[in-house]
Amino acid sequence: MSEVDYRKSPASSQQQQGKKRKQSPSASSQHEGPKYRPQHNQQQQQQVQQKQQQQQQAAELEPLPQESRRPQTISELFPAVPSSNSSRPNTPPSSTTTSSSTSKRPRASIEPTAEIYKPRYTAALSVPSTMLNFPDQNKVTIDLTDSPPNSHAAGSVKKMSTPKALRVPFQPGPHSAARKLVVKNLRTTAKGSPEVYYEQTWKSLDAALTAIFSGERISTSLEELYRGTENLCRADKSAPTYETLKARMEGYVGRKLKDELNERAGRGDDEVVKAVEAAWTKWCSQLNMIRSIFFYLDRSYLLSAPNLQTIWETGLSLFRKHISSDDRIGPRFLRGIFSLFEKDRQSQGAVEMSLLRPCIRMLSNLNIYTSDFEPKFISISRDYFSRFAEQEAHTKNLAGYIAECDHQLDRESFRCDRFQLDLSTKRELVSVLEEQMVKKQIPVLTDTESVGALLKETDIKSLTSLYSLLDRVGDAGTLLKPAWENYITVHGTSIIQDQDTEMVSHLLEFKSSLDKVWAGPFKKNDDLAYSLRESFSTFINARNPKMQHANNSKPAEMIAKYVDLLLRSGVKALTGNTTGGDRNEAENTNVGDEDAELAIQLENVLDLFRFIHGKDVFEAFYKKDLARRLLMGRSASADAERSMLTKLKTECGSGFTHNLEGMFKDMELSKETMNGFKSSKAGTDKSNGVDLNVHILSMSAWPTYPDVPISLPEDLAEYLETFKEFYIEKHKGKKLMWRHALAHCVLKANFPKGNKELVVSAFQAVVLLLFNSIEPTQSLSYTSIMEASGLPDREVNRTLQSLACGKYRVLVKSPKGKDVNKTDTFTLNNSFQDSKFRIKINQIQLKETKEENKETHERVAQDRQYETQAAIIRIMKSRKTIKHVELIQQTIEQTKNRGVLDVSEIKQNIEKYVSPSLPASPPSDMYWNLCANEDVI
Amino acid sequence: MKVKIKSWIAVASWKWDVPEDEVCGICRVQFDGTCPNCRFPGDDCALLVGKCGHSFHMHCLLDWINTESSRGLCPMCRQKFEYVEQ
Ligand SMILES: [Zn+2]
Ligand SMILES: [Zn+2]
Ligand SMILES: [Zn+2]
Repeated sequence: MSEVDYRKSPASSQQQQGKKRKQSPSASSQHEGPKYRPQHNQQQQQQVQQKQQQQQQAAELEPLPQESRRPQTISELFPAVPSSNSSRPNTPPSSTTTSSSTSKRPRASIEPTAEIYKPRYTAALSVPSTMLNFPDQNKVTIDLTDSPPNSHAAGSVKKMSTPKALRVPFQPGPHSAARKLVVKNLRTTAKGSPEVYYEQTWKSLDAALTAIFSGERISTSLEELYRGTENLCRADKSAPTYETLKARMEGYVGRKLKDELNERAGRGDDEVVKAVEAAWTKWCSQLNMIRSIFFYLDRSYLLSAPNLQTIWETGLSLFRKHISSDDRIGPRFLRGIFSLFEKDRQSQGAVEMSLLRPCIRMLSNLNIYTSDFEPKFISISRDYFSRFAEQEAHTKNLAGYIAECDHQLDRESFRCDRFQLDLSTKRELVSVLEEQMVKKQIPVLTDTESVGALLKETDIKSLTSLYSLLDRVGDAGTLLKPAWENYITVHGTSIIQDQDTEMVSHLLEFKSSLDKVWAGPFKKNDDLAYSLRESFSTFINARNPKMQHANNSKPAEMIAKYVDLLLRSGVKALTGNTTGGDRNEAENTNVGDEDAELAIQLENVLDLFRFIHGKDVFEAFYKKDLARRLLMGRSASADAERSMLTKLKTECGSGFTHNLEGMFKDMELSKETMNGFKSSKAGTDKSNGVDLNVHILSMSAWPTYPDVPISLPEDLAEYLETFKEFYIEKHKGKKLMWRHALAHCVLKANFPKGNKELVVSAFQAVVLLLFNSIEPTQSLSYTSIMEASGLPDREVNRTLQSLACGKYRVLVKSPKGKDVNKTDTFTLNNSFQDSKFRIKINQIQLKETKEENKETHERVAQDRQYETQAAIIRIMKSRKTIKHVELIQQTIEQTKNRGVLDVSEIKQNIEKYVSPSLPASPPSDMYWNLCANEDVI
Repeated sequence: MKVKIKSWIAVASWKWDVPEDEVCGICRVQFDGTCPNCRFPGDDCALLVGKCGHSFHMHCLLDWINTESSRGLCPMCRQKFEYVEQ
């Protein structure tokens, strides 16, 4: 770099500058990027630009303490000064001309800065404007810093322009003259070689460094120092300047700063943290000042030198080398940070933000966040949470642990934000937490008993969290499946085994709570829906060791009875007492709401019904109950009956409901027949005032009923015979049999204390009518009643019990007692009274006896055998030859809907109807042939 | 005190009026069961009583009468089959 020729008249250059300045009088306050770039060829320029860009990017990435980012313009470096105080800064002499004198620099004409440079280590790192005290404007005369515009020398310099921020508005008038004078003055006194000047300059710079390092004021103005650097650089002394600067910086960081730090840092790790942080803050501030002074060096030389670091980078390297990566300090510092994090974790956030935040920022500014800090931090956190999870998982209950997981995830994420950790760290920490607290604790989180307890309590909150936690580390559905299934099976089985009257309502509640958990916390997981169905179906159809007959049939029976209850009593049954009791007639109080509610209830029960494999049991009981409802007129709503029938038809097909529909059809036909009979002559003549109604049943559609002999009163028997003749006349080829056990009637009874209507069964009526033949005070013996009624002993006993020992006692038993004995005698209860006029005593007819129940189960079991046999024969007829295993499978498949037999029973049935083709082969490979004996089939 | 019947709701069931052990002359199934093509006994699978005294499932007899070889005769006694009006 050639020397700059400043021989050109300063006045002319001054004038030109003045003109320029005139165009932008407020230039000093304008922020414009400095154009310090020496002239380069295109390539060099690109290089510089690249490096500048990199630096700018780096500067943007580095969250420097407050305003410590690198100044981008000179005006930022030395902020504009208020005009009253604005003045031309001190300037060095131009390098070559003799006119410039190093001994008598314009400094003389400038008032020294009033303020002392006070390092403000703890405050902002920007250079406070108060530090830059420029001389009073009036005393400034000349701006020597301007390069002569037509300087013939090195083009590199020629094109460099003064940062606008440094330009001082041109001031016409006497001041111009004053300027000239000063220049002249300079010229006359300027003597000595440039080397002397550079030495002087370096001396002031060196003194400034010393001042910065020792925290004292810098005696030379910053502007002067800046210019000095510039001049050194222009004089091609960048390299030695940089080397010397670097050495000084290293000397400081390596010794003084480090010693101070070691002094400050006591034994505690967090003391080290504080000390390092303090050293860092101090160094940043100092470095910033250094960089301001050596800014020209930074920009003109270091930035374009590919192998050299900028001043800032140099400073960071030195800090790294001597402090943060020092063998002794570095590890202690990191340990300190880690222990602060641990303290924060254990104390739920007691560590102050202001302590850790700058450290984290420092780590990233030093570029050791990712290399030194993060990996160790993650690994230490992993250890911490591993220990923590172990401890928590085994001391807390599941709900507590789930809450802890949620809490820790929240806290850790909050902690990352609070201490401004990198996003990558946050992500990793979250996955560490997931791994340590969730994934590694899956056995605890999915423990069947603990999860079962949550399900039992329907702890929606915990279950929701549990599902989302597990979903973070795997397939929540698969993970929860075993516990879910176990709970359903175990809890369901206990409901089934209780066998009490509340079984169905318990099942309904259970199902509804499972649905709620599935739809809410378990996010309608498909797998869990499937296993819900499977498990529900498993326990509800499980063979019950307590039942001897028709295994797994109890739930089906109870469901049928629950439906009966609903259809008999409507939704009232659910709110009131659900056991038998005396109910008022189906009063027409049903409003729309109740119908809708009933429909919902029926739909819910149907939901249970769908799980039942043994639909035959349901059908048997449903049929019996429907028969009772129809024959005794006990349906709460004909619409509900019809809608239930439609639902069953949809569920199970028309084969299932054919008989049920037949029952409704019989009821309709009976009504028609009765209308015909009542309008016939015989129907009216022989009535004796009795309003007769007959239900004529097609036997195959209805349940089978035992034939109970009975002696009816003569009049009635005659009237019934008349009807029979009427019917047979109309339906040739058919004959009619009375089912008196199902008949009921209304009796008019005038008790001394009032007239009553008694709704009684045929059996009860027959017994009561016997008392017409004796005086009111006379009694009838058990045996005479039995003889006269023609009823079997068992029925006499039940009937008398219902009349003399039930809720309404129309007979008086002697001797008194709960049970009826053959030696008892009975009289009419002449003191009978009740608030109601119409009294139903025929509940006994509605109640299923134990024998009846057993019989129904037995018949279902028997039918199952037939169905199985039919299935076996159907399969054999179509296949002729079939593997043993396959035959059993297909038999099960075909009988699944109605009710499946035990495999052993299926085998027995197979052996009855088919013969083995290969007697010697092992069972699994055994083939069956259709029996040759056609008779069996 | 007198007790008097006001109304009586009786229940009765009907059966085909044929001897207990008699079977359909065509399909050999008892009359309270169905013909081979039916599942539900009763009115769905009715009975035809011939004037000759032989009874059949209606479905069975119709199948027979529809064959050419039947020539409208009772399959049991080879008399012209006429059924009793019901
Ligand atoms: Zn037949
Ligand atoms: Zn038929
Ligand atoms: Zn014949």
